Amino acid sequence: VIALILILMVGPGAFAMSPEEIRAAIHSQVSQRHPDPPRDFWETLGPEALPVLKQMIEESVSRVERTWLIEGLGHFSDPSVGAILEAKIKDSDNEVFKKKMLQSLIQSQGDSVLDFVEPYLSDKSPHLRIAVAKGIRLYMKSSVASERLKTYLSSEKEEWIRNEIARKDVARVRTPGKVIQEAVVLASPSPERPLEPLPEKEWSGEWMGVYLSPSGSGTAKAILTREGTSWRVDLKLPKKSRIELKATEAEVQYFQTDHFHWIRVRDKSADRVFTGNRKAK
Amino acid sequence: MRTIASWILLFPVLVLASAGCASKGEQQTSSTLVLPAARLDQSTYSPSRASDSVIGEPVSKGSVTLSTTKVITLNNLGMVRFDDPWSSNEFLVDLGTYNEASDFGPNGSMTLVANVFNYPLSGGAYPVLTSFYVDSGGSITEYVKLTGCKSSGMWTCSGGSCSANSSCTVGSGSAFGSRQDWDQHQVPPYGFVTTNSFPRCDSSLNAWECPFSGGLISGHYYAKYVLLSNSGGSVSGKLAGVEIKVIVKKDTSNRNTGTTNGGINLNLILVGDQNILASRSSAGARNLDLLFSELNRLLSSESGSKLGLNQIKIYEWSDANGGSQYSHVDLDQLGNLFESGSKGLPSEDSGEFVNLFLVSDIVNSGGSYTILGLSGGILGPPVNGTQSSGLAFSSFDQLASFNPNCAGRDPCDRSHQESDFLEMADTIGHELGHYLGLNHPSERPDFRGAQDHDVLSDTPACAYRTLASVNLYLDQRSCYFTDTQIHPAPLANRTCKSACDTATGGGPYLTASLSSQWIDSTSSTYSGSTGWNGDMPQKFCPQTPECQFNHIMWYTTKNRKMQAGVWKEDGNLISPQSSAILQWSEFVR
Repeated sequence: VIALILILMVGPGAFAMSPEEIRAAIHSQVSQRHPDPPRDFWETLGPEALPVLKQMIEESVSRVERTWLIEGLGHFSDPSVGAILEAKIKDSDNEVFKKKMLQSLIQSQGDSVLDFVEPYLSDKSPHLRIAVAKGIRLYMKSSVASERLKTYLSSEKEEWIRNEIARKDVARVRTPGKVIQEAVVLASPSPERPLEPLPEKEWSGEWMGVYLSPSGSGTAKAILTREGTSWRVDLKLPKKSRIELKATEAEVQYFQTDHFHWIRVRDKSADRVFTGNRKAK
Repeated sequence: MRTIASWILLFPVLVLASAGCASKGEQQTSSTLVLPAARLDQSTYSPSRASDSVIGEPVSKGSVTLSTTKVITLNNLGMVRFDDPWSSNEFLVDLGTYNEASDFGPNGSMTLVANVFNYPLSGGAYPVLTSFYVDSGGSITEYVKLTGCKSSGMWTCSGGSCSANSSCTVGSGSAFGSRQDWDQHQVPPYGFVTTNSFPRCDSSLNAWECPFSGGLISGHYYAKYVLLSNSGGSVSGKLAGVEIKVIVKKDTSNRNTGTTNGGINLNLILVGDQNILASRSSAGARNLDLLFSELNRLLSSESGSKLGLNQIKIYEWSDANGGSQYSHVDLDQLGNLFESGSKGLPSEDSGEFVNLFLVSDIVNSGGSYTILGLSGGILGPPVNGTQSSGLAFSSFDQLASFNPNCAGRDPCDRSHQESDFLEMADTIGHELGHYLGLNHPSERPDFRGAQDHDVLSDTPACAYRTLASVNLYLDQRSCYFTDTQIHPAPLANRTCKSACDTATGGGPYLTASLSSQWIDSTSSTYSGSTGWNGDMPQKFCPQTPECQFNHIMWYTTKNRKMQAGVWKEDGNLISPQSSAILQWSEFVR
């Protein structure tokens, strides 16, 4: 069994970032030569990031940078993203850029773009075929999509391409210089498709994670209890210390990545945050 | 001397592979699958030499000889897991007797490349260097000093994942500046081959408490290793073998005293038909010439390291020969690219040339991120055929379409070259720095804000900036505004901001607003239509070493702005101490 690791960092901008701050957060990631951003980077920017991202794509004078930004569009399901990407795909004659846009389009729009992307399953470029087939496998749920993928795979002559499409996506982040810090175990076996969101009624109970404040940080456990429309949070910290946040003090956000459910609890009365997760069942 | 930010790992960090069945009687490397050598062809493109002013004349030092003095093979060695004490599994290796003058010279070095074979499980084992010392006739000089590791193990594991054991540390007076510094060489990013080279520091240069001043001394050299398995199951009673190659560089020149510090040889492997076809076009060939010219300029003059490019060999890895499988290489296939690709190179060039793989795209299938380049390691091995034997950078299939303003211009000066293209040369310079042994001066902070810095005293630290306590940014703005550290000697006892402002005659590099940290939305250069591109430096200070963004090993890409028909941009410095490290590299001749 190959070791599966993924990076875990508290993501940027969980709480009401201004457009300028969202720009800065994106710029900080885009400018890296070998980025290893938090896996949930785009999601934690929130829906407010989409107009900022679109504007940055229009403004950017760098093709490489613009491509990176377009990859970010894949994380937003707004229908406008589909229109933007379909137009750019039709215009592009660069295989790398076209591949990244197709990936983003499928990730963003799912089954609704099956007819648009299917012709690329017979493209002469193996990289476009791989990108589209992988995208269908990961992000489309309809039986029609599954059937078309099956049909394509039965006609694909290159074994390495079939293997590549079947290969599980593995996030490995041991970049030089960071060796293995910041990485955590990725649940195995990996689910083939993204998780269904965890209903709010199931947020109650224990979450394991990290507590962060200006005066210190550490591993912690949060116990969420529903109180009306809010949440009371009991934070259990190292050395048997604990903090109890009343429902009026705790701001709770939920988000998900491919394999984990996450919550982020912010203490509205103090500058401290808890981020924790539960592995998918 | 810079202090190292403490880094206590609060989250589990490494998953262990489950123990699997061994294939009996079959010799395996620790990467389990032995990849075939790629079939490479000579390229039709070759870089123009001095006559075309591409990279000038070779700059060989003329004082360097290399030899593999020993290949040590040991069988039936016990192994440990990440959290196991080493107990009796640490083993001694006799490296032989060497003379300071006749074997090393004042600038010589010794490199140990170790590889496990006959690994009996799935996964692999790292040969971890736990000790390196010389016996000079009764007087012992230790180069690696560890404390707390032997009895308690390197890592603490729980539930199949591990974090660094804080009681296992690198002691003072060691050639490794920190636990992380040591880790980087023992647990490489790709594959399981470890590379360790000495000297790594010189107390007269590097300021931290090194075991010695000057070069390697005369005496009998020894090393100790443990084989660190990544198995999730017990490895008690499991045995493997190790091969340790001892490579000695003799260099009779003195360090940093001449007009040149020598040069390096490069293999450029064009991966995939798109890159190959581009190189055969006139625009693609011109751009490769410009790329080498720019890289040579960065290393030889702008960086201050006085390193040049010597021989350059170009190879093609065509789609028909399997190149298509690696031209859009996934991160987790990069080790296979390095191994298979470097095996296809002429064996006599192994260790003589640094391997650059030009791919179309480096794919991170675990996330939507564009990667410009990656090195096989911090200090890549001077041998071919390993999972770390090279560095890769992305062309984005633009080799023939870069620099449209160069059409009809021969030569095409920098002002007509694109920023994306110049950044590609910067990226190669940066990854090359990693491969030859250089770290980022500052690492991005982890999720708790803990941050590592290199151990050199002439590279500045750069602090990060935060938002809502949880957003940690290391960028030009954080170096300029947030970092209020007065950088001590040998830097000029100034902050980045004060030094940069002085260099520009008082003009600001960036302007401040929004708590002096975020995008400057009040600047006259900012407007809704120019957005974040408006948040660019007003005046550049490329020769100011107190600003980390002016160093070639700076973490992110560079700021660059066309002003009056000339590129104004951040610097690409290599500090004197960094240059000294490069001088010990086997590749620098």
